[in-house]
Amino acid sequence: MQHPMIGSPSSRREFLQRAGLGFGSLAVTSMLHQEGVVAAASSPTNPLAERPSHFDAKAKSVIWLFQTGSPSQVDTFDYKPELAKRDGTNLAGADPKTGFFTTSGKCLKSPFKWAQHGESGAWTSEIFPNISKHVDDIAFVYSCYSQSNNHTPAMLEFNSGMIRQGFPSMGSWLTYGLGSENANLPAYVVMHGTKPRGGDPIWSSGFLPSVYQATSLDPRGAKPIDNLERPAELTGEQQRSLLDALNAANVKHAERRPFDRDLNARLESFELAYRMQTSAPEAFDLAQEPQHIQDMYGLNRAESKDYGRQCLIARRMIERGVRFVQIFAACPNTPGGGVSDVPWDGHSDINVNHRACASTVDQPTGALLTDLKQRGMLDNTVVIYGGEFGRTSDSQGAAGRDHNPNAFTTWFAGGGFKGGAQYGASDEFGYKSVENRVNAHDIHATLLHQMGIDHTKLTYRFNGRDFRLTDVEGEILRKILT
Amino acid sequence: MSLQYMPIRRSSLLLTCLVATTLPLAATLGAAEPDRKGLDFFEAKIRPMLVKHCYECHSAGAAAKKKLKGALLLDSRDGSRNGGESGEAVVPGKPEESLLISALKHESFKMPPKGKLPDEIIAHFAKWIEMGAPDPRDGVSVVASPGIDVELGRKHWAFQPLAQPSPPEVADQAWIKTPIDQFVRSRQEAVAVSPNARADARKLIRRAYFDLIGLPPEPEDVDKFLSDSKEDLAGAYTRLIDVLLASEHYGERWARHWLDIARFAESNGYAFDGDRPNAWHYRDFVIRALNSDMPYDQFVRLQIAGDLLTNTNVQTVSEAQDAVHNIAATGLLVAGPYTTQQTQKERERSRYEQLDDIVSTLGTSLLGLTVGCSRCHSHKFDPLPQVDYYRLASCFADVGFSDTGINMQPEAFRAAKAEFDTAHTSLVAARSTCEKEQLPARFEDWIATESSTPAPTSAPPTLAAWHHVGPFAAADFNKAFDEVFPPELDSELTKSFEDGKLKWIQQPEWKDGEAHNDKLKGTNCANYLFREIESVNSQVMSLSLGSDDGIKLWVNGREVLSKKVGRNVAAAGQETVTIQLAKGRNELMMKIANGGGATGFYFAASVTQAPADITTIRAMPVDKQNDDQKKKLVEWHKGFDLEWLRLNQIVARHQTQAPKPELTNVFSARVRGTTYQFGEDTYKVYHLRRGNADNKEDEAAPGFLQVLMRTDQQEKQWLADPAAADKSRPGRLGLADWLTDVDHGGGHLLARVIVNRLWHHHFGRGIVATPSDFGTRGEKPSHPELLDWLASELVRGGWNLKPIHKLIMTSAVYMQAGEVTVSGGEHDPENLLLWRRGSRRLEAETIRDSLFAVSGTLDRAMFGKGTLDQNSTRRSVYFTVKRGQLIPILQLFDAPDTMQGIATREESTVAPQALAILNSPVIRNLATKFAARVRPSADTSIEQAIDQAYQMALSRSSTDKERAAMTEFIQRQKDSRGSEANAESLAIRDFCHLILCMNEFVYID
Repeated sequence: MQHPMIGSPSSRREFLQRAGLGFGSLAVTSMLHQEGVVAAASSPTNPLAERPSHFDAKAKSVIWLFQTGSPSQVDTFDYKPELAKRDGTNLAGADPKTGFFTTSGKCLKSPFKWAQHGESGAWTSEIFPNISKHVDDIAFVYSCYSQSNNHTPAMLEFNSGMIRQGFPSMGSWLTYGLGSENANLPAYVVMHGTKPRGGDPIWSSGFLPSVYQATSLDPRGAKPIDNLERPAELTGEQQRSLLDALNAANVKHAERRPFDRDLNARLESFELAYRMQTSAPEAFDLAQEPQHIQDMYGLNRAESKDYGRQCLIARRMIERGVRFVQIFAACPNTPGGGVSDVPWDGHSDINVNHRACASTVDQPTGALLTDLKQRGMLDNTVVIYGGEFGRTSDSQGAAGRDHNPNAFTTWFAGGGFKGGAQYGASDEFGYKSVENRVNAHDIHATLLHQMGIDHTKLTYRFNGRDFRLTDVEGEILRKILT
Repeated sequence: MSLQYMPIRRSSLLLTCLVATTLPLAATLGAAEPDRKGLDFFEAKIRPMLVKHCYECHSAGAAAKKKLKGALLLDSRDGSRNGGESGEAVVPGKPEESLLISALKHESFKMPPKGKLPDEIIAHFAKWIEMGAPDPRDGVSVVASPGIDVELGRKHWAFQPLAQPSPPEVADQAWIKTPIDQFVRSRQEAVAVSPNARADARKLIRRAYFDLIGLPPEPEDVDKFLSDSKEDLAGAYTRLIDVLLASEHYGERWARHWLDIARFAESNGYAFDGDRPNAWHYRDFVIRALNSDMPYDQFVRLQIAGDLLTNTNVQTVSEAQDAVHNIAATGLLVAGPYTTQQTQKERERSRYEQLDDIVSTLGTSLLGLTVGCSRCHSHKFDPLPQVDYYRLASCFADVGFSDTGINMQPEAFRAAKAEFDTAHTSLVAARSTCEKEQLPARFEDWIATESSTPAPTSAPPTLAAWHHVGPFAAADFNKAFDEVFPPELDSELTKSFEDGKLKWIQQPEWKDGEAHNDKLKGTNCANYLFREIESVNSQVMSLSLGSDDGIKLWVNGREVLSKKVGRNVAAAGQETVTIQLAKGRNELMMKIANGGGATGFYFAASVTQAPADITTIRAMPVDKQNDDQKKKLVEWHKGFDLEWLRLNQIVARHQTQAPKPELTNVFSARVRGTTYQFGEDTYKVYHLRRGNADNKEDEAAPGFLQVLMRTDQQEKQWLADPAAADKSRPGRLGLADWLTDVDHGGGHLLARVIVNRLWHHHFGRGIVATPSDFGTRGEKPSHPELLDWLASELVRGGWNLKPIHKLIMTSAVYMQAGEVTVSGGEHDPENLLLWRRGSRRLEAETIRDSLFAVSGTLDRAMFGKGTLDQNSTRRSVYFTVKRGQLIPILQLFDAPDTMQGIATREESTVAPQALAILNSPVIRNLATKFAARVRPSADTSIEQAIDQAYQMALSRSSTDKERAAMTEFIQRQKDSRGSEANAESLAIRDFCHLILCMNEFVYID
């Protein structure tokens, strides 16, 4: 494998150094220079070593607030007064096959009150009293679309660019591209409540080496990371003593095999494991946060405590150098058609479903934006918010909405996105994106760009083909960047 | 920045190029082509745009459809440069003179007509032309596949026939053990690199054990080998290899390698990840095939077409076992992911995804070709036109999956069936006798005495109270409904069941005409209700019935209703049925089968008329009744004759005891088996424009890769039916033959790919370093003659793999030590010339298996259904592979995700692995077991225990220094526990745990 950031695998160089032979020829040295290895070299044997980006990055980290199950665009951020005017009348051109089931073809008005906010005058529905305070920091994209009208493939598309399983998710690509900033924590963290429909493959590292895989955890549990706890019958000192004896044996073993470089890496991995036993629980320890912060994130409310924990841990993670945190919103109540693995799936009643889900996510989302801003972290952290597709403008049953891959809203804040921007548009009913249509590839290209990566150059050779996160597509959404 | 997880990956594609600049090996190791960069630019920026925006009107394909515009062909280099009616489209180096640019800018022409391309893309075209318009698209292809010249493509090394090289002469005869060594040593000699001497015997036995069977040798095995090898190492070593190749664990170890390539899993993947409970047969097929050294060509043929090559109507046990084996082989075709939640409009697209999974997997696994790349466009680098992709896919057009049942005891079944038939015949005869000798008289009597229309009100029947027994538990609803529980065979109410736990109980409160949804209990079970009905004469009743869930009803032992249905509640009128009552005592039995949730029933009866057709016939004068009508009446009358009913019940009850074949269900490919259904095109394959199922062209016909056919007849050579010239054989049969045809088909490449895989697993790198890509973008072979020699040996030896293993493992190259020689380090630091054999880390399964083996807890039971229980002590290959629930410890050590086949596992070294080894209770527990094994009692001294541990885990004695250090460690751990009672045994456990953590335990020299 040729690493696009490292330029060349370094084992030869390291081999030459270790063997005391120096560089064999000028050609090799210049090649290494050309590939940027010599200049970059932090610890080139380590695929998770931090690596320089292609160009200056606007953002250091990304928090993706994934609204699993797909919120309705026309009941959240994409205001469509025409729907109210024509409530119950035929929606011309509605295709009953748009959704997962079939839809009525009759317009369904939003059950919520709408208002404009901030200097930008962005519309939001009443279910987001907190998020609406931040609209001037938010860039809205009203014209998203996805390929599938089925949850799992659509989530796969938003994570990996492909509707099929088996391709690396964006967090893995990012880690592959940039390495990790914190030696003691994973670079790519996924937090979920009930796992979203489709499970672990949604955040797969696909064909990328497994070092780039997500560390996934359910912060509702007592032990969010596997094997982090020392066996109960072993004291810290006893374990340290075991490691010391182990190291001594491993050093001896490695001394006789100076060219099998993995040996030392494995020795060091035990040391890191030992340190992680302390550092990782610290990152999860929300008791270290003052009460008013915990309350701000809604940890004191039953509806919002799980998602609030997710958001607060996310902030602590990126503070500690984690690059990519993806949250699949944990909603305890999912009436109106939603299920715990797809909470926003309001097939039967948008009103009760969206009110319940919003009462979970609104406060913590707003708190996260406030908190990042007050700590000066919003400038270099991208917060992205959205689901895997949208919902139909015509009703399913009397009061529900079915899946609609043709139009939905995703928003961005911080990390070089233009606050108050409003980009793209759906038609007057919010049924189809019509202006500046945006797909997952475009979003991925833009996020990578903000992280300093040219999406066309981040490639990986697998089974004879150079793959990209953005396949052969991807347009950077320059109009919503500062 | 400091190290993060310290992971290391062994992979070094670029290094081959680096070395090429310093060694005189460039010709074979692959020198960079001069304008690679330009071609890359073309491939990345230009070709996709041409295909997307221009080919529709300016390509051979467009010409074929009479859609060519302006006589301009932009799908070949010559076409672009010569231009069309208006002149040269591309003038290399001169964008300003190239019509293509002015047309894109909408200056000369307005192209593409649908709308101007973004400036950025036009700038790419200009830059490309400035670069000299590098363009690999030579000539015109054979089958309307722009840019591909199959004849030229055949010149690529991998598509050439097998050379029959003789092993070259070498100066260093002393080192040579096998012809392999001659090939390797000769290359070393050319650049003055000297190889290593043979590794010592302890290292050799460990290396051989892990490579061939994936388990550590026991200390006795090591001792025996050491003493044997003192006299004759070569002989002892050869015998060792023979023993290991004959070990049944060989199949388990090497099956895992193949299962990686086959993307083997036992569930569907995707949202619901449904289980494939009978998919493990494929894993067993691979293990058995390897253990029996099935010729590789046969191994491949069965995996492509085992179901077509096997008669499933088996006559003997051995035929049955063969059938399971052969059918299971097609697991390769159907192991891929399959999404069960589908919206209507996704189905056809999903079918093409499924076919793509099959075609891509076949390409990479068997031929080392990325055929899948030709799905949307002709292959950009290899001579694989798009049409070839669809020809291959078409071979699988009718393939779906299914659980195929095979009768495992056909002889025993035949015997039991014959015995049953004899008994049954006599029972039927008794009934027939009654029908012939007694019934006619009683029929006449009935006609004469009973009114044709009995008055409903006269003497209504008396329904006795219900008796109930149940619930009878079953595995699931289907079984609950289908299984014949004892009450069905005998309605004697004094009987009890299940050791007296279930008894008939009278239920006088269970009134008719009310729904009883709270009386019956149990899920996945059956409840029986019985009652007697007294009737003074022959009568007809109408029943209104309800059931939650399924219901069966017998009247006087005759089944009158059977409805397998799921319901939420029992209610009136869910079923209605007309029954006949004989004069006297009638018996009514009802079975209510339940799946999940509550269960219940409804019953109401009323006297009614006979059905209209019967009353009509009865109303007719006898001489007016035709034969059919008479027969109908005779049949109807049987329902009133208790004697006939009794004999009939005996026949019916006996019938339920008919022997059933003992079926083994095998998840396998099947013609017109399960797949996405979308109407008449379901089992057809069309050529798709740009791979898009919404864009079908004409239907594809089976065929193979043109570049791998050296015959005038092309695919007909393998597809023509030898029995009837105008017919063709199924595409898969032809494919199986073509793939294994060394002379005219793909067999030579098939052989090269598999010997390279063996080499890859023995050395950690193949002769071709990209084992699943032998195309032009893959690595070139480091030792091409050796590769061809090995492939030829394989074919010459009848495709048996074990002799190739032995050839490789008895070579000096394989047996050498891992030391660094000065010449090697200087001239070939990456060891492409194989002058050393460094240590290698065990794979996930082998690490886990070794931990269990060393701790003395490995269960060596082979075959059969797997498990997801992480505490299983069986070898890791027997874990159930569930895509959504992969075994964490194996994942941690780089086991594949099973979505696509992989040839080379990435090898990571990360902290979570160390955390697992240090902290997981499973491993801590194994350390305890290991400790008990090294020190079974206090009679064993600490020093002896230490040495035992080294022998068992590392196949060597401890040195004095090591023993001293470990004794000290144990003392320290003991002291730290103060006066704890078992301080010493806990300290020994810490020591054993330490041994299991050691690099030496998982890195094999």
